[in-house]
Amino acid sequence: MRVLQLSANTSAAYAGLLLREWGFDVDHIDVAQAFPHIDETRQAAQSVFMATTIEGAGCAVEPHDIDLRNYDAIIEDVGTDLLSQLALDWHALHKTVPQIHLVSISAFGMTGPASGWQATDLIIQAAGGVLHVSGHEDEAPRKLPGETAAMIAGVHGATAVLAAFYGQQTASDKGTNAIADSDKRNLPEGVHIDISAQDTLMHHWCRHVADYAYSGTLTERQSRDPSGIHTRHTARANDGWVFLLALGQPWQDVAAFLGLGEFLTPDVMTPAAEQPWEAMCDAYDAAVASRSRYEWFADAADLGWTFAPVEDPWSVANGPQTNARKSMHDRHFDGKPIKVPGLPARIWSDIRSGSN
Amino acid sequence: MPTFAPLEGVRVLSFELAFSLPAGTRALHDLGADVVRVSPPERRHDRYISVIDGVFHGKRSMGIDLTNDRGRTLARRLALAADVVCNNFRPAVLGKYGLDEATLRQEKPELICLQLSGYGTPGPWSNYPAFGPSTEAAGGFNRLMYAEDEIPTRLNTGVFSDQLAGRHAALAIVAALQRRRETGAGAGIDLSMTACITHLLGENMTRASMLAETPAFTGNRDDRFVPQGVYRTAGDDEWIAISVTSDEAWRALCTQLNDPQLHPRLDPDADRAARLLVHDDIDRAISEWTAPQHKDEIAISLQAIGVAAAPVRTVADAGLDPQFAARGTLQAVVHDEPKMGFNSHPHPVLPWHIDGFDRRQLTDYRHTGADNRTALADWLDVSSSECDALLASSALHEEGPMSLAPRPEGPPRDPNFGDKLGLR
Repeated sequence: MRVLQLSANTSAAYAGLLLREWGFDVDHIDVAQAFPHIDETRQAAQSVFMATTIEGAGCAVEPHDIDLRNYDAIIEDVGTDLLSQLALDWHALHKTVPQIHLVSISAFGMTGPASGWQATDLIIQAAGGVLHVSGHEDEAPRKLPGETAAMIAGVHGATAVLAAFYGQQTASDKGTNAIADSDKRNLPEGVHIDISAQDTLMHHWCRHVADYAYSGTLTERQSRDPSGIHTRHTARANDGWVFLLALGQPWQDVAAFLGLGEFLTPDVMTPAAEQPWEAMCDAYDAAVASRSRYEWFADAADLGWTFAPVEDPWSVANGPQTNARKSMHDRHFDGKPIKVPGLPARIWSDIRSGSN
Repeated sequence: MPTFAPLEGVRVLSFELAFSLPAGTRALHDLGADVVRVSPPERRHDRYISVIDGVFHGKRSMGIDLTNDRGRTLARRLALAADVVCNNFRPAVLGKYGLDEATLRQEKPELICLQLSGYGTPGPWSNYPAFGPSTEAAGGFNRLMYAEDEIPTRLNTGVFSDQLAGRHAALAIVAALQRRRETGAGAGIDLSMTACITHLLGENMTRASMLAETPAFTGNRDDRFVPQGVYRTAGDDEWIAISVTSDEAWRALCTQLNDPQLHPRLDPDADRAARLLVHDDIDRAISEWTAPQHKDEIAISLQAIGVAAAPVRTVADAGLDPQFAARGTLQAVVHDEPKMGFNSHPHPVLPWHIDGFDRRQLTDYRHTGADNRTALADWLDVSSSECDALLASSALHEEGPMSLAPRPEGPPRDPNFGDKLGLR
């Protein structure tokens, strides 16, 4: 499968990156970025990350050199105007090369009253809704880091390219010349898939949208200080922050584990009692700060609890799990070695006696 | 119109819990695959969450006891009849039952096996239990959400990381199916939820490596878009996001702000660098302007003059968003019997539009074991009397119809939600 990536934004570039990392051929047309970074390091970081390729795969092509017959699919986020200028809008494309697929990613999709709206990642995060539950309840909702919305749409874009091509090819294998489950069309023809980043983001908080629809539950942002005997989910260990969650566990077990036995009194444990978080918080913070985040993580895991270290990028890149899985690419920038995230999956086709 | 079903004919057997892998196999279902999920009887599950999450919808459901000899044999036969076998148990679990990738692919090399776990294998954390939010912390996401002097914050959605990992699982499986079509070879795939988060932060991770330090926290601001922020509007906890992406957009925004005499530092001719110096003043002026207005009206008026803006959707109004409505992002799933007092509830469907095709209709949650007979008949040609014997031996189990109740504790509730959403 060979794909042409036409990207002015992050979403199609990320889709192209994922397809390359999964071993498919992706050529790209360099389009001026809609919003280039002003900070040179950010710009360079984006280029280095997005340009990560499986060795030998993909190359840059000029618009006038495009031979559409070489491609099975186009993934784009440049918008309809530029597509039309390049004669790559769906109607023209489909007429010229009927079997090619076109996957278009945009902020709000190509239909609907907001289809022409201007957007940045913050705007999509707001419209997609996840933003409302990000941050603390006493402040404005807080943007998710990076270009989260665009990249999630990119994962969908890569999947759409592969699914469309797979369906087309298997239909062809079967001799049915169709990728539909009914009303078979004359195929193998390509399809046009229109992906809205706003739509894709909806799935990332669908539990809470559904919780409202089923029971009226109003999920909101976190409070800074918990109420009752509920504890902060993030506290400072002696080497950084640790996320603490023992889902469904009774308070007395958690308190005993943390070394807060002094709070296991009837006053505290009686449901009707005024629960003393204010009285307890100093002891709680001191208890958590008595050990490292990795010690808490490991010991909680022994009990089946889901604590975790709050890792910064350096810790992630150099951590024991990352190293064991070899999940970072070693690259060079300005002559210095750097680490760049690789695919989150390991894949093998050989049959092994054990994968672990 | 025909239904878009490129994975029609693909059989997926999924040993799945909670949300991450179920989200991925739901995506495969949406693309036409026949997904059978297997639930072991010993697993506690929250029925309410299982139903409202929507990630089990559309799939067939079987209840198989893997601790039972006949149950294990049955599960193995199903696995060998599948194209894809996946699980999100802890990595060592399926090996105990002879259902791990290495064992299954010895017998069927063309099988695609995916293992999804919190931290992936190999490594010292491989068998640590994980929950979506813990992988956000371990993957670097939370650290980029707060300033050095703050108590860290996090997303208050329990499913962000799970959904992301599920989407990567779907991508991985479709990629492996395509590879198999080309080469005939199956695949083993090990997917880490934490690594999915880290990959999502690719630019920030790369920049941190270049700088040898964590990039500075910038909150809602971005030096490309000045001003950019989230501003309070009329209503309780209602907000609008605004990004000014050009000097032209800035001039347009200035025409909307209140009396410029009150804000002498708001110069419509200021360029991005000049605006950055007075970002706090600009934020105050915008907040004053947005505070008494409705977020949807502001967004429409700003977009009309070329300023990027959108209402911050809440759980209560996401289902009423006109763009979602126009695109059919949420589909009413009709229940056989009313659930929580209503005949249907909205759930998000495949978030793609395909010209000339309908999206696959989403069907309701199936209780554990509801499809024991049909799945076994279709996949293994097992008769109804054989199913009876398997049920009698406890190799198979069926949960039976269930009633739902929301969790007794939790956030506040809106008693008028049904009317607001137009539920029947």
